[in-house]
Amino acid sequence: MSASLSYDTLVAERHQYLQPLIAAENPIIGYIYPHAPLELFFAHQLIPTLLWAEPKVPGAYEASLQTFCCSYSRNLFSQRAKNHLPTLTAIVFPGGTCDSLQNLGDIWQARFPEDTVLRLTYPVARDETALTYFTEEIQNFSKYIEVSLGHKFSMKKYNEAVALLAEFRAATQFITAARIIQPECLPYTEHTKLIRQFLTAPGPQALQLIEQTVIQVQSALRNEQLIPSVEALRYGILQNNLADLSIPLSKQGPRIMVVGGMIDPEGIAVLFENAKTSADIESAEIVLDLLSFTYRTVFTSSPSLQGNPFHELAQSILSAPAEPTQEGLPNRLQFLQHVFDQFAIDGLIICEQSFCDPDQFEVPDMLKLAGKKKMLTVRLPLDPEFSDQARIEGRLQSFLETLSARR
Amino acid sequence: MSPETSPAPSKEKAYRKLYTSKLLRETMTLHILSTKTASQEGRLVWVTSGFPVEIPVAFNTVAAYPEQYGAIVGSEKCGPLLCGFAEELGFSQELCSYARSSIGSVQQPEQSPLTGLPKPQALLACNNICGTVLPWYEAVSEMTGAPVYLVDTPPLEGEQPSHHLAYVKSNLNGLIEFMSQNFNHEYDEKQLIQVAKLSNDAVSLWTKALEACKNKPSPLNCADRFLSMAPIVALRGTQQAINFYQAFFAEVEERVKQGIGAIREERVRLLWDNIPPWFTIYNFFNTLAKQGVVFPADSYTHAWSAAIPRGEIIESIAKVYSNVYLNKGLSAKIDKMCSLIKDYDLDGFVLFSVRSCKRYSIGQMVTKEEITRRTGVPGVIIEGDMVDSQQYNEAQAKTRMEALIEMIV
Ligand code: SF4
Ligand code: SF4
Repeated sequence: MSASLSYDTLVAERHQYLQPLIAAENPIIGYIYPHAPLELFFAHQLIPTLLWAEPKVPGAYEASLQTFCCSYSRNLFSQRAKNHLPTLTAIVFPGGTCDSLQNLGDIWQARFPEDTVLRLTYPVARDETALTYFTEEIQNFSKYIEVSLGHKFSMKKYNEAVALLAEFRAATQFITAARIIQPECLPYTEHTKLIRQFLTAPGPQALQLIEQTVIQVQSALRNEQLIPSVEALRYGILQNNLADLSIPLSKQGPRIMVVGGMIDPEGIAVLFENAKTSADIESAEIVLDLLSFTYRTVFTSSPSLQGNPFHELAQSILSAPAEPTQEGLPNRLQFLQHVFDQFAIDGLIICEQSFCDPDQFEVPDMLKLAGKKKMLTVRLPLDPEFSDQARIEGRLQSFLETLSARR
Repeated sequence: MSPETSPAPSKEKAYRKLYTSKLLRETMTLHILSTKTASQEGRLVWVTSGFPVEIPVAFNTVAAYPEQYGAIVGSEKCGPLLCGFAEELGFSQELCSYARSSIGSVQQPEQSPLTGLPKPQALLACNNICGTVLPWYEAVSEMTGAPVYLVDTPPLEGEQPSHHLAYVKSNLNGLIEFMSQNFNHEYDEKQLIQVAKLSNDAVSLWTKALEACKNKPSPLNCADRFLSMAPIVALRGTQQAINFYQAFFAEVEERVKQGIGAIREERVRLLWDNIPPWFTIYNFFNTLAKQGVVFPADSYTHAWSAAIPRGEIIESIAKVYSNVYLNKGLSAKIDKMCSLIKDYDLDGFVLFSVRSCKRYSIGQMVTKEEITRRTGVPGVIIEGDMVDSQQYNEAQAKTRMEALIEMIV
């Protein structure tokens, strides 16, 4: 199987996800930072779509962005300049998450004045004062959507969205936990595809696909009586309490973990599968990734239907795990330490988006921690175009070969 | 610029040295000594350049500025060496070179200028300048064991809303608690008010000196301001800063009175945007001075010209430090630069695209077009870095500057 061929197929498929919603003329709101208030968008009768980087877009940023703007931002800008983005009612930029996106929002407004650009600004801290700030920020944002787009907040739609997203999270959390225990139960490529489909076109259809997969995974695990362990693990992750868990892990093949931020998990899956084929090591599995669009999104807790929606949404978003925050580094390192120990990780793939400060600042500590555990690591500088695909696959291949030889 | 249009050679240097530069050196040397003593006494804090330093000063701690240290590293031309030490630890070459050189100097103090900054007892960051400061200080915290406190000032668009102000205030109150606990010192509001007054007095003198550059000829050039800003950054809130700026402003006033410019013959007046390339600061500005090019204003040193307004002290500090223009997006920066061009009667502008600094630099292409559209003056972008000289192409910078000057004269 040729690497570029399979990736091309993947890309072509992705374009289909949103088609039914576009055809039905649903108003679509695009967002970039994964921790956006999706339930709020639904409440305003807007369908949120996550704007992913697009590997095949020709560069069209040079007259507006320097090359040291992160490659993800450059890619999004090029998509817009080349009209590769779907027609959007509005696009939401985050404030306060990273400098590249912060500035990109301003540049977007200047270059594409016909676009409706909205901004939601996040606090860095994760305490009560941050929660209060962010609650008001979301409330003001909601008012702004009403005024600027004329879409009123509907409690009924909000409740429906909370249920939809909660089901999505529960189902994908289950699959993630199941794969940590027994990665053979679902290929990583499938796992990442399901999440991508949902985040691109969230709705009952995409959810149904995930829930069908959950049933399949459950029946595979039921024979081995692993379902209670999966649930315990899922709960442990949600509670950030991994230390006391006793997890019956599948000991097949090298167990690999992926870390990084806004990295395309499906892209990683393709690179990994190709490297596996080249190295002829079929048993190696990515058992978990801590990437923004997968782990950090699905293990965000859902808002409760009881309280004030804005407060609940703020609380939900600020619960996104593993994001760099004020209380950040020591907690994140401790979490990683537990993950390494408890999940019997043999090797670590560290992804760095080109010119992404949040990714790149994390790397030395990951390396240090992995070094302490004598864990094999490979560092992959990436851009969304995978412009260096052959070299990256080559590195992954040698990583897998070394790992396999070690075992 | 063609040789025919060059000014006639003269014995007098093309640029004039400030006599207060001696006092500046003495003031900063004393400050460096005081940071060493403070570190030994357990009361040294490292702070970011946009940090509300009045609060730690009111707790009798002494502040050292890693960004200022980065400027020293750059000027001493050891940026690549120190950044290399950080890269050996795994920090990407794409990260801010102030952060990399600072981390490198903590790792290898013996090989660093002044043997690095003295060991801190706390690391105080405010993200009103960029998002880099927090992970940078977290990395230093890992290496030194000093705790980090972040004053979180989410970026603003337009006016500061009340919930934003309340949030920043609560962060400042948290800082007070952090300082009380870590330095075993009671908070004294009167002391803070007194420090804020000293800070405002220094800011006022500094601002007057900056504004004096509206005169023709301009009494200060870019390098003069970049060097003389050291006390307003590092000693804000102390009497030493006031002492220095009194002398400095007196010299500036004197120059204005006597019609003495920073350079021998002023022909072209330009605006500078961003941090300068420290490793070639004299060479860059003095070479241009020889061609009659002066920079009466820049967007960077003007960032320290906001005084703490009257009113409840914590709220006033929250307001002033939330509203620094780097925290207010592109349009605020463009507005500021357009008004500098108008107020200082400038003929053009130079945007230094600093690879290290995404917050300051991304957007300069839009900025360039917009400023020219609004003011009618031409501008140029030159690329490089403030510390990492490997990222700077001198020949390219020279060609672009020549093209700009040709457009003007
Ligand atoms: S890839 Fe990194 S720098 Fe780029 S938008 Fe995402 S978090 Fe920001
Ligand atoms: S990124 Fe820019 S503002 Fe931030 S520390 Fe570096 S040079 Fe300063």
